[in-house]
This record gives sequence, structure tokens and C-alpha cells, in this order.
Amino acid sequence: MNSFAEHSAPYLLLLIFLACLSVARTGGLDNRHTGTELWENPAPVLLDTALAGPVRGLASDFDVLHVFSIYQAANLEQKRQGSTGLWPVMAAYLQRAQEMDPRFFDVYRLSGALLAYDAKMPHLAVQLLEKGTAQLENNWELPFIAGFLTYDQLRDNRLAYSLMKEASIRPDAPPLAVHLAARFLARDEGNAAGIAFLQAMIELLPEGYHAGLKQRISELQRSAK
Amino acid sequence: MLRSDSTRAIFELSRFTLIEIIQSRVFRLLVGGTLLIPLIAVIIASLFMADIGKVYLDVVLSGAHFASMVFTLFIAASLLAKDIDQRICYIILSAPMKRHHYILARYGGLSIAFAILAAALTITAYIGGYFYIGSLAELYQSGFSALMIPMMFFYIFFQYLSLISVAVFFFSWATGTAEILLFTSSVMLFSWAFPPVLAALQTEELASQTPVFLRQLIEVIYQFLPHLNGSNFALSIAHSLEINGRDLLLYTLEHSAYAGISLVLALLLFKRRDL
Repeated sequence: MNSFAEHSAPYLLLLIFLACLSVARTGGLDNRHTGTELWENPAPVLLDTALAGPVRGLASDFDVLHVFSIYQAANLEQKRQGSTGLWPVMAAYLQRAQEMDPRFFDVYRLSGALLAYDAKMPHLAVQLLEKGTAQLENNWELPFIAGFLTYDQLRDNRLAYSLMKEASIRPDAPPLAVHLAARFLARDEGNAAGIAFLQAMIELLPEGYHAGLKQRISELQRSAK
Repeated sequence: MLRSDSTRAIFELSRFTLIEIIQSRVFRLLVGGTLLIPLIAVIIASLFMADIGKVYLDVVLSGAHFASMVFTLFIAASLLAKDIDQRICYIILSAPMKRHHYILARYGGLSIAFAILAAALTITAYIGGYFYIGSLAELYQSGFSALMIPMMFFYIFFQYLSLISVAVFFFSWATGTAEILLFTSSVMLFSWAFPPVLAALQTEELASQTPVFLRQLIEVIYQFLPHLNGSNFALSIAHSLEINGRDLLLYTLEHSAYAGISLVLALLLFKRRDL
């Protein structure tokens, strides 16, 4: 009896516990990780800021990773159910990433593409880009993308003009920016220039994130005919 | 002659402290673990679209914070706590060694050991960045400059020197492991979370919603803490932006002064302590 307790019992107990663990893991408990409830209830910004402490850059990186996952989930949900409630959640994470690290360029790329064209929230995309424009004083791309979205989605030519003008006078703006701005605002060339711009944006994004931009390109192509 | 004796005593105990730390398994694991940080950074950075250089630096910096916190709590504070619990300080002080020499020597040894860890972090992060980010097209580097990595660890080094001095301060009057670890970790936690909260509370939107007494209370606590306030520096470094020399000087001064104040208080308290 003593020999059993000393030598075999621990192994027997180990086997029993391993069996219990595998029953628990395979018996449906894994489902707790597959829901989207964690995304839908992001922590309050102040708490997030406190948790991030001096590593705000990493916090913004994780927010952008959330955006990628939410984008995939939203597309899947939209295909299955015809609609999705995940776009505002994606927008919240983009806003948060922008607040954590205003110089993080991926945030603006995603805003200009996914938020404006997939989530159909161009107002918010322009708002984020304008915030970035104010904070990145030497960057011409942000006011330029904001100007393009204002022209293409918000149909506010006046604001589009002022944003593109802002872009063209920034120190690193190439002459192409001025030329493109002029073409957008010339009614006859607006569509062609818009398509060219959207195609340039597509080249900056991985293949999985082209859907909204491609849809807009085909819309512009149809209206040009 | 007297001066050279005290210098020798401090030097010898610093050397003893350094050897003690280097021989501990946790320190070796930590130094070996610095190889993993750039690897993790490469894996996470490769998930991103364009700002890969920036993400690499963010992860490397966060890893450095993690390693430094482990050092402060589980090496520095634990070593000091062991001195009280296992009565090692009684043995050392029974030899002809003054109490303030003892404090200075322990701090000296801990600082040199931390400098070794910081150097290991810098070298591994530099090599990872140089080869991985350097091999990417310019668009994906997001202005990455490998020279920013030593700068990053310069800023980490000073922050944690002041936190190590806080552990020494608690050692000077605490009764054992539980107190030293509790107080040091509390200060670290507050130093981590308070500066960004205070900065957020100063924005117009939140300032109007926060009661004045709460803002004042936070401000008072903020002034007592060493500031892990490098997020602006860290973001500038991650984006390879030039850092103002004056800011850098003030930053170094702030942390050196904080470390100095904590050490002097530790010396005064330890001198009067009933051992």
C-alpha cells in the first residue's frame, strides 16, 4: 500500500487531472474566446491610457491589430447576415490608436480606405485625418487624403479645395500633389483622377483590404461611362 | 588614507553585489531573454502594413520596460529584502563598514548590473533592427534609424535607476520582503499609470468633467513619484524623430535628482535604524 502511494499514486493522479483538463477543454469551454464581446466593449479611454503608461506606441499597435480582426469579422458577418454592427467598433479602435500615437501612419491609411469606403463612415475618416493633419505639421499626404475623401464622399468641394491647398503648400509636397488637386477639382477630370488616386491607395494596402476601394473604383468607372 | 579605505569598502561591496547578481539564475535568464525581445518584435511587426520599423521599436521598447521592471522587483528589491530577512546586512555591517557605505555600495552594484542588462537589451535590439528593418523597402521602414535604439535605452536606463533607488529607500526602513516588494511595486504601478492619466485629465474635455480636488490630489501624488513619462520620448524615438537636447538634459537631470534624493533619504533613515 505504501509503495503504491509513493510510486504509482502521483502518476495516477496526474493522469486523472490530465483527463479532467482535456474533458474541460474539449467540452465547449473554448467557445468563451470566439465571441466579439471583448471588441464591442472596449475599456474606457482613460483606463486604456493608464494601462498603456509609457508604452503608448505598443497600445496603438494592438488597437490596429484589433482593427484588422474586426474588419475580417465585419466582412464575414456582412456576407452571412447582410449587415454588421461592427463598423462603429472598428472606428472606435482607430480613434483610440490615433489618440495613443498620432504619428502612426497605418491608422490614417486604414481610415482613408476601410473607414471611408468599407464602413461608409467618411465623416469620421476625414475627422481623423484632419486631427493627424494638425499634429503632423510637415506631412502633405494626410490633408491630401482628407481632401480627396471630402471631394469624393462628402461632396464638399470647398473644404476639399482648402485641404488640398493645405497639402500642396506643405514642405515635402511633390509638384504632383498640386497637379492632382487641380485635376480633382476640375469637373471633367474628377473621375479619372479619383480612380487613379484610389488605385494608388490600393497599392499601399494588402490584398485582403481592397474590397471597399475596388467597389468605389467600379462605381466611378460606371459613372464615367 | 581614510578616504581610500571607504572607497575600497564601497568598491568591494559593489563588486560583491555585482557578482551575487550575475551568479543568480534570474539575472542570467533575463539577459538571455533579451535575445527573445527582438524576435517577438519581428513577429509582431510583420503583421503590419507599412509602419513596420515603428512597430519594431515599440515592441522592443516595451520588452525593455518589462525586463527592467523584472530587474527592479525580482532582482534589486529581492536582493535588498534578502539582506534584511536573512540578516546578511548584519554580517556585512559587523565588519568595519559604515552604514552609508553599505547603502552606496549596494546601489552601485545594482546600477552596474542594470547597466549590463540595458547593454544586452541595446545590442540585441540593434542587431535585430539593423538586419530585419534594414532589409525592408524604405516605405516599410517608416524612417527607422538603428541609431535610435541606443537612445531608447539611455532613456530607459535613467528611469529605472530612479526606481532602483526607490527600492533602496524602502529597504532603509522596511521590516522585510513583503514590505519592500509591496511598496516598490506600488510606486512602480503608480509611476506607470499616473503620468498618462494626469496628462489626459489636463485636456480641456476631461478637465471640465473632473472635480478640482481630484485633479489636485492626482497632481500632488504625481509630484512624489518618479515619472515613467517617456511616452513622448518613446514615440519620438519610435518614429525616428530628433529629440530636443534641452529636453534630454532636463529628463536626465530629473531622474538623476530623483535617484539622488531617494538615496540621501535612504542614507539618513538607515543611519538611524535600530538594527
